[in-house]
Amino acid sequence: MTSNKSKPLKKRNYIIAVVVIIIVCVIGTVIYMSQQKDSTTVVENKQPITSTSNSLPDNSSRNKKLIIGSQDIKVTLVEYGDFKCPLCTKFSQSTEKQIRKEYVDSGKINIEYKTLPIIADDSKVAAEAAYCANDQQKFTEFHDAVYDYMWNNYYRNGDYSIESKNLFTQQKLSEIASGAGIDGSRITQCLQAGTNKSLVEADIQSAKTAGITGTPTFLIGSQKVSGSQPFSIFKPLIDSKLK
Amino acid sequence: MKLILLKIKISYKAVGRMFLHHPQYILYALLFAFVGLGILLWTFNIGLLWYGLSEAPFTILERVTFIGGIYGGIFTNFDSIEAIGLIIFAMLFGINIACLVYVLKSQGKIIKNSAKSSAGLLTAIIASGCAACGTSILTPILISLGATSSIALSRSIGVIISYLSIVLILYAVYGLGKVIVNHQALHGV
Repeated sequence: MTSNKSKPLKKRNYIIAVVVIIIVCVIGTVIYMSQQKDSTTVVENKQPITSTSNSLPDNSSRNKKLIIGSQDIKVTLVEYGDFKCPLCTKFSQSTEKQIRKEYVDSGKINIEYKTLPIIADDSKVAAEAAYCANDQQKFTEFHDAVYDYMWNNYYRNGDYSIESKNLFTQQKLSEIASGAGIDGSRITQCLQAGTNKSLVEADIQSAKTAGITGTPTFLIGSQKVSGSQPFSIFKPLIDSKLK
Repeated sequence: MKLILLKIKISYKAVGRMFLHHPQYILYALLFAFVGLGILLWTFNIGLLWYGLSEAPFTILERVTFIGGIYGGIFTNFDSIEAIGLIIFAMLFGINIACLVYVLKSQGKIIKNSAKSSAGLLTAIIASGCAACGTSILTPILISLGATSSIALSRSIGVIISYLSIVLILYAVYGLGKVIVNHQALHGV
């Protein structure tokens, strides 16, 4: 009699335990996410993401920024990316093309690319090379060439094995850059000199301060967008900033 | 083994019969699948979802378009295999919740199977996103286990967990099917 009663009781306790664990996990996740959002907001109060040309300290620091589009534009979409990240690559082939067509090419907004090399060690070399290309005023060409290369040779076919291989050597980056009309030898020299390492480190630090841990992550005003989201998510956010 | 397969067959057949005799549950399943998929897609942008629902200076139409716009993420935020897995999971989730509603209405039994389907949804949430890129709930878990040094391992764990979520939801549907079999036997369906 007792054993018959205790069996459903044990079952019920087990079910309650599972439900409690699930609830705790969900609450934990929500708290984790909201903390990330809070830390982003704190940083943005110190340094507004939507910036005007007046807020920039001087021309030299402005030229060091990796900008797609015109320099002096009021609304900026900030992207934290890694040249080896499959989702960043997918974003460059899908949503970014629409954003650039509708907003960047018409001079309404620009895109500031911040390097967050997290996939592998050679991601950092590619990030540094992006700043080297920017020294030649060719960041957009470099950005497009590297992502096109990754898409056409690997990620379009679902080949993710390249993530853990040392792809971005100085020679490879120089080759990709040369193919896009950038002086490849200057890229190699720049990488050997390591002149832009500090800029990459500054990007990584800014991501840490903003609580950004993954790529691609975007900032539009005070709003953070995680992942390679569709144009339908970005459009209303950008439009509301342009009003 | 044969007995287990027979049980599975009987259970899923009962679920099929339920949908045949009560076609309104097909609509419920589709609706719940749509909602489940939305939950999965919005998980990594909860702050943004809240902004879109409350603070954003959007019109009602813009708000609805914005919230629904996340479904386009199936094509931009996942590769084709991941997207197919996500859609399969969402459909099974919809079937599962529709069965739950049926069992609740007919017998009032719900607690056990709702726990199973919640576990399925939770594992799917954990698995979605890109663990290697850091845009996944799995990332902090992997960091705590010291596994992020291996990109291949992170990706593999994500894939295994996503399959596990499908297995869990299939198991939940199987459990509900058993309850439905008994109900159908009692009522001569």
